[in-house]
Amino acid sequence: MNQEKLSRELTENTAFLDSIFGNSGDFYTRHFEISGVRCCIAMFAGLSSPEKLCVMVLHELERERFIEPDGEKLMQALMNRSYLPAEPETVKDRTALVEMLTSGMAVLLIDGSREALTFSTQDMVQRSVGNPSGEGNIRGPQDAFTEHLRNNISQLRRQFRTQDFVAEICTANTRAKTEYCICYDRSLAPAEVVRKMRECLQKIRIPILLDSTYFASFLKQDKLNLFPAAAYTERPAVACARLCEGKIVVLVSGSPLAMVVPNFFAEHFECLDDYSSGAVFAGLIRMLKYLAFLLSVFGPGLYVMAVSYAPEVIPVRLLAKLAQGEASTPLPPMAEMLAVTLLLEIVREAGLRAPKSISHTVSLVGALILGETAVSAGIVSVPVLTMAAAATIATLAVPSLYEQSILFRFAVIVLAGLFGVPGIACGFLTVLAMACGSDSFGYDYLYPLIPAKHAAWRDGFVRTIWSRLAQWGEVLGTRGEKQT
Amino acid sequence: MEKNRHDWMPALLIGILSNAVLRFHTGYWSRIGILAAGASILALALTTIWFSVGWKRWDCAPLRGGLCVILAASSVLEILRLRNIYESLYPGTVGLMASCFVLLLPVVYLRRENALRQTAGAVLALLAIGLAAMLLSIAQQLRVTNLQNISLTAEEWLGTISSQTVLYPEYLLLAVLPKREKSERSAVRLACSGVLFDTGIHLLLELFFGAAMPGRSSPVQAAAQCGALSIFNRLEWVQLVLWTMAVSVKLAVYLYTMVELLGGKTGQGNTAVGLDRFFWYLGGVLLFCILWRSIDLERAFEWRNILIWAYALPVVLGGVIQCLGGSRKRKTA
Repeated sequence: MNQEKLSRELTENTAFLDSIFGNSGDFYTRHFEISGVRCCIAMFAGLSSPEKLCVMVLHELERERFIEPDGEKLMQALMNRSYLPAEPETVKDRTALVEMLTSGMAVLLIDGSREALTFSTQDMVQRSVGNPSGEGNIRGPQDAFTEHLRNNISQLRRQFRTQDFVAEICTANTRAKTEYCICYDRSLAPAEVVRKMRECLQKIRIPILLDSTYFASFLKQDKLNLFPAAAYTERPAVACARLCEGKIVVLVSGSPLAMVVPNFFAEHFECLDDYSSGAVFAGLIRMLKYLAFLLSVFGPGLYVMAVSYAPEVIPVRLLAKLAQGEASTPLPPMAEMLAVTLLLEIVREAGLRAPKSISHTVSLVGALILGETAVSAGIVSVPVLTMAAAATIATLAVPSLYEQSILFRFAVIVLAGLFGVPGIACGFLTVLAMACGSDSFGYDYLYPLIPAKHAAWRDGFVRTIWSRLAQWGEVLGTRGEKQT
Repeated sequence: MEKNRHDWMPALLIGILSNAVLRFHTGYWSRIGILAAGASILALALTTIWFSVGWKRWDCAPLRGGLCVILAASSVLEILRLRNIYESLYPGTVGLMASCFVLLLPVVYLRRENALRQTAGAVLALLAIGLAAMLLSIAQQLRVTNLQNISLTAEEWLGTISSQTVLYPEYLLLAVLPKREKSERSAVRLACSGVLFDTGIHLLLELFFGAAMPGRSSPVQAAAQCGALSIFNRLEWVQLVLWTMAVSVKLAVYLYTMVELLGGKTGQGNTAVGLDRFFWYLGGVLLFCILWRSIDLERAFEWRNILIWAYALPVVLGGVIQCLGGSRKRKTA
């Protein structure tokens, strides 16, 4: 971008703007005079509001009388003696001029002045705050982040009303110069983690930044590790809770998802409802979620292993039933399980991507017709279909680990199908090693589950009662110290 | 929320405990084992401590190379031993290459210290649960009357102590790996855990097999095969899963140590050992697994023990001299 200073000549500045934005239909300029000095207002019609411009600038200019002989003095008068609600900082170079215009400001260029005034007349079309679509909760706040960065920050600030809340807005190294914001509580977030995060994000160079998830891959030390380097939320309430734990929330302009770092494995099994409902019920639900994750990853693999290599694992009565089912199908258990799991994934993907009007049809065709006909035609057995369906449903109990569950499931099926019991061991250890090896900004990813100390039973595998939770608030950088 | 820290104890413990459960034959009767445990713990702990002292003083390239050879050879032997168990339980299912693959694949993800430390902790906990499950499953077959009343001859004492004082590579690794707590305490903990667990396993096997214990090959596996719990008639597959995981962790510790000794960190803030070394390790292990596939493993492990003692003794003596010199200096001062 051109770092050149603004010219004293209005014609040169407008010529520069015309040369870069002249072909754009939404670029708007209006020339007029103030006390005989030529001026020009420039803005983008879709980003700035002409009504706001009229009310904030043009009406004020009409009301006030200026008798300044040249542009420099007029600029001083407008800045210091008028009631115009101009931004305190003037624009002095062409880069800033372009940035201001593209961020929706109206710019007043004055002939004879090397500076330009900016007015916050932004008025962009945006989605209103709605309900979160991917994080279902019965109780608690129901608002979600939107695509507008400032709105998202204000949503956080509304819930986090302390002097320690910091929202650092930065510009990413992308072609589109997308803005992002690093939010944290300065009294709770470890300074070292904040510094590392800031440096890490500044170093990232990508052509485009459409979502906070784009950052995640750069935060990973081990690129072979499949566990996510960050957690995401679309709920300001969850982001606020994470800020209270001393974590960092990264918001990206245009993305309704907030990225939370450092993140821990146990957090994928937590939700807002856990803290709204009773401790016993919340604990039960959490345990069920862990079981669901294990079932979704290892269930189909264990089935293949048991049926193919180690039938002695299965109780006799159940074995008889399974043998009956397997006898009628031509495919080996591994191929059968892989085919059914793949088919279920295709149905899911098709249902997700297809237009809403036909997505129900896709589900219906996939689930009922294909499943029913495949079983009745003897291509797949009922036990395989049952296990695959159970695993798919179990995956949805922990939606934030969906990708990992699917990938691990396929790997475990293949390992179990090829190597039997050692294959299952290999799969289990690989998943465990990946989870243990995830380095979340120097913190153990499996905290507080491993090592299973008091914290694991306070807010890990289960949740303790609120009075105890309040005493032992989990904050980054502390060692489970009691809160005073 | 705690940050990463050095603690190799779980990883080293897994290595030592897995030797006890994967042994080919029992080495002694539990009664004499319990009586000799104190002396064995003392011998092992002192050896480990003096080796640490000697290593710090005499650490040099040939010593490092020697330890790497021991670790590489141990890796091959561990894989072959487990492969034999696979073959006995599920004949024709897992070939040699497949055994290497399933044991070494997780090692790719165990190249970072915190991964190793935490995984070892988890596997250790699972091993304990698995052992408890096995104990439950064979509880009905344990008989106190099976305990043998043997005479305490010098030969028995010698055999027991030599069986309890097998110097596993893990005892030497304590000196090499970065540590958090005092190595003396770790050495005593390691020796205590290793000898007491081994004695406990012998006691369990004696309660289970009685007088037939010395004749049984792979006795822990044989006992696990007899277990039944509720509607599940066979549970040895659970043990096999856990043993496979334990051996993988052991191999990962060996690889990590070898890379530490030879130098091969990825660098630039990445704390993992470089993957480039892994392929050398994988290739070497595969090659030697093929070459040694038909050797007598029980004899090979005996030879390994002799080799480790022969390697460690000069360093241990150096450590003793260092300690004596240190105490004399203190007295003079």
